Amino acid sequence: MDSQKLVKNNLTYAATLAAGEVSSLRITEDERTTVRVYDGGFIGVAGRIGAGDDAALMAQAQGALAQKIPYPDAVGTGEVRQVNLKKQIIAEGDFLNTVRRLAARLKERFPRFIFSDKFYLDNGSITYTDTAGTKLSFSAGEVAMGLSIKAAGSANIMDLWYGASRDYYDEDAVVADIAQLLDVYENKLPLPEGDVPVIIETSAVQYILRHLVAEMYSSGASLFSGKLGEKLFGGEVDLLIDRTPGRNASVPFFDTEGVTLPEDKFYFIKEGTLCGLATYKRSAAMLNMPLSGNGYATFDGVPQCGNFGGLKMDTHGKKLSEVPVERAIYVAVTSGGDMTPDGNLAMPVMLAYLYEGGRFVGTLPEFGISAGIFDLLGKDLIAVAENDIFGYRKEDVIVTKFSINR
Amino acid sequence: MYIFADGLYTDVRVEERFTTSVSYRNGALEESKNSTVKKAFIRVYDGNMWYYASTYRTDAIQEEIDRLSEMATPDEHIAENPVVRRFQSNKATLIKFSGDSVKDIPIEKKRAYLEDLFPAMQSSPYVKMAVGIYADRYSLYEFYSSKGAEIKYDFQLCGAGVSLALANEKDNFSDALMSSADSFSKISLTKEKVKEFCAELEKFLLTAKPVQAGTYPVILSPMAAGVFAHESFGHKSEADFMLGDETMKKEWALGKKVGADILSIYDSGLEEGSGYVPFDDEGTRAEKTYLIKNGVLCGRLHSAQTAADLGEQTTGNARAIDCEFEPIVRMTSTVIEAGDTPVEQLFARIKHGYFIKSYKHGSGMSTFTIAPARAYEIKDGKIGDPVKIAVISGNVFETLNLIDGLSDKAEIISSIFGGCGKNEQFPLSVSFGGPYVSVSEMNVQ
Repeated sequence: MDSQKLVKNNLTYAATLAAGEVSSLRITEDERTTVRVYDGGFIGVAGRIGAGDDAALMAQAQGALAQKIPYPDAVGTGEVRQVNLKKQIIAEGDFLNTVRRLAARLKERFPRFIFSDKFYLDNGSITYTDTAGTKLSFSAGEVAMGLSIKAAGSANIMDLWYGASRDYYDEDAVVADIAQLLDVYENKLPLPEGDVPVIIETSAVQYILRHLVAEMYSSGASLFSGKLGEKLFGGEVDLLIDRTPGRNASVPFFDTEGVTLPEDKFYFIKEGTLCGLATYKRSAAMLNMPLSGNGYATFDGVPQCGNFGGLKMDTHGKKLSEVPVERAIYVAVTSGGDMTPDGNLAMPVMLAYLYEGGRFVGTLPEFGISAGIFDLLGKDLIAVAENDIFGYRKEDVIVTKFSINR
Repeated sequence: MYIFADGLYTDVRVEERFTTSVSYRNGALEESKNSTVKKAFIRVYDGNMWYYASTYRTDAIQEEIDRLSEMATPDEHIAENPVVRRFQSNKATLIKFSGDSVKDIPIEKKRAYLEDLFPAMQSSPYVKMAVGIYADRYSLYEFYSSKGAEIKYDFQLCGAGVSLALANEKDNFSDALMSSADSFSKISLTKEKVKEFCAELEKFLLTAKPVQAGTYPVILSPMAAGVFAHESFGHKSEADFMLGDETMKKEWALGKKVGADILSIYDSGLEEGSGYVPFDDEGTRAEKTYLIKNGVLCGRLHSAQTAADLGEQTTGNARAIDCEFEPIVRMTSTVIEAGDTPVEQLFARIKHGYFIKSYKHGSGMSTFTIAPARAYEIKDGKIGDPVKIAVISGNVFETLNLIDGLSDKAEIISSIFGGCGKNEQFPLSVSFGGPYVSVSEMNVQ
């Protein structure tokens, strides 16, 4: 009987800012162990939080085979690889004072704004082993922050958001990033007239992800069904999973099923051509498709398709400052959004900046944007680039055309 | 039970959570499991800072209390602290579901419930992917505090759902139909309802038309109205957004007119279903809190911290998604009260607009957004063709004043699937609802 074992450990320090002051410290220590067994075309899974008896967990997983959940034998290739990127980013004893220093500095530097929400220091490790001799492990730490920012007296729950996660901490760089957004925030400008390109985070393409799921594609119900191998987008569009260790602070190079990728990459779209679909071991076996590393599972659940960690649109090293656009609208905050079944995307934009001469020059009134996904990433696409206005926050953007609904 | 340090406020929340998860895809079993997890969350407050720990070692809670207490700075006057004074000292045991517990129902019976729906799920030749899901949860909560609170209560929710993806050579359409209840016997996802749902989705696939983006009158179904209330106003009622903002406190003063005269919205942890919260995660007993009454702002949702900051009282709205997180101000069951207009009359008034029957998701900031799933054109007072709408949106304050009709019966929608997200905490079990709501103008894209 083949089996897999996954062990995840995390130690997280989280500080809350409430109205600009550090109001709480939360310490969470977690260990989760998963065992999966495969026998006769079925899977049995058991999970445990905390330390415990591994033999008992194995017995529990074997007992779960009685549920008769079909699953192909999913052990790996015997690959052995260990990556340890852990280093001290902030000493745990200094954590609170570090956050307090940042809070005080933000308060002083931006007195007309209120900062709230979270600052994290996370250290984690994950190991995967199986009866095929596969041994994979990944350890890393990161600093992550999600700061909700409100202009004093604003009627909004929040006016903008600053988020970043890196494997190092640089207070000056964080403050400099936020200054890019806040120093011109009160310079209210009208929406520019005419055909002005829009700069928006590449995460705006998230609405196509469910259409890349192999089961959805194969059923015929995907927007892309039947189009594998076709050039659907502009030649500069590469959409891929990139799990190169260290590229994203805490994304391991393997998924929950121990799937690793050639050169740590899997392409869904390459040079505009749809060339890959999101799979996990069950769907890959059933549909005879390559593994994309999209296996996701809760600590005691059967794997399914869903882990898009490491997803990116490749900028090929291009920076926003190199894109020949003199004037554009930078979308900072959207208030939701969605895509119709035929690929029409629409989003209300809560906060946007006018981008001129390579920098933000002021904020714009609220408006809506809409576009067809094939045009957005096709004939209307100007560039995919790294937003080098920010020095600490890593943000990749699309520069493209949307219809502006005033 | 626990030894609490002098000069500090301490509370301990423990949850033992039993869950079931079953799913099928195109008739093949993909998941079938029960799970029981017990965790604790400890809070220590010294009047200045909160210290939290989450642990699965529920036999070592005292160690965590001691560890956090060492980090804090005791204050001999802690009992007079305005936050601490607001914590209640309830002693109560409220076990409602143990006699009808989902834990006692064999997983085979839950699987059979879904298997019975398979033929109905495939009742259209255009169905390409049919997913059936069942989920349940039984939670036993305990709460103890240094003010003498000792509470034990339970919570239960279960539900079944079908998610169908249809396609032909040109188009695709998908949506889900769910039924949730606080008892297995009350789940009402029948073969007939699934067949009807399938037929409706087929109609959308074959005939739904795109809309011309613009501003239109919109009628929201009770489900859509509920998510509208939740996203447009509910989050604005969570008082933590006013912390430290003196200007906002004046702008958002109780007594201010914020909506149409016919509009009343309340939040209550006493409603059955996914918003049932008889005691919040600070041990405060549930209340029904009116947020808007006849268009006038009359209440807010509070934790002890926000209540102290605003000089108001707690409302039973301090909640966490589980024992890995601290409680923050959240909704429970948020409902627009019914009006007095028959539904047909609401539609009859509209020459050209849209009816939002179901939704995929919603979000709310200064602009709220709802992504409709099934929406219809309204033409000359009648429901017309299915349409494809990406989002409807509106400015919160403007839209509340544009409500011009409420039907005469409200429904509360519960769901075990999904929930509310705020900051890092998703999904939180909530419910919402209302009558059919007519809004004279909304942005439709």
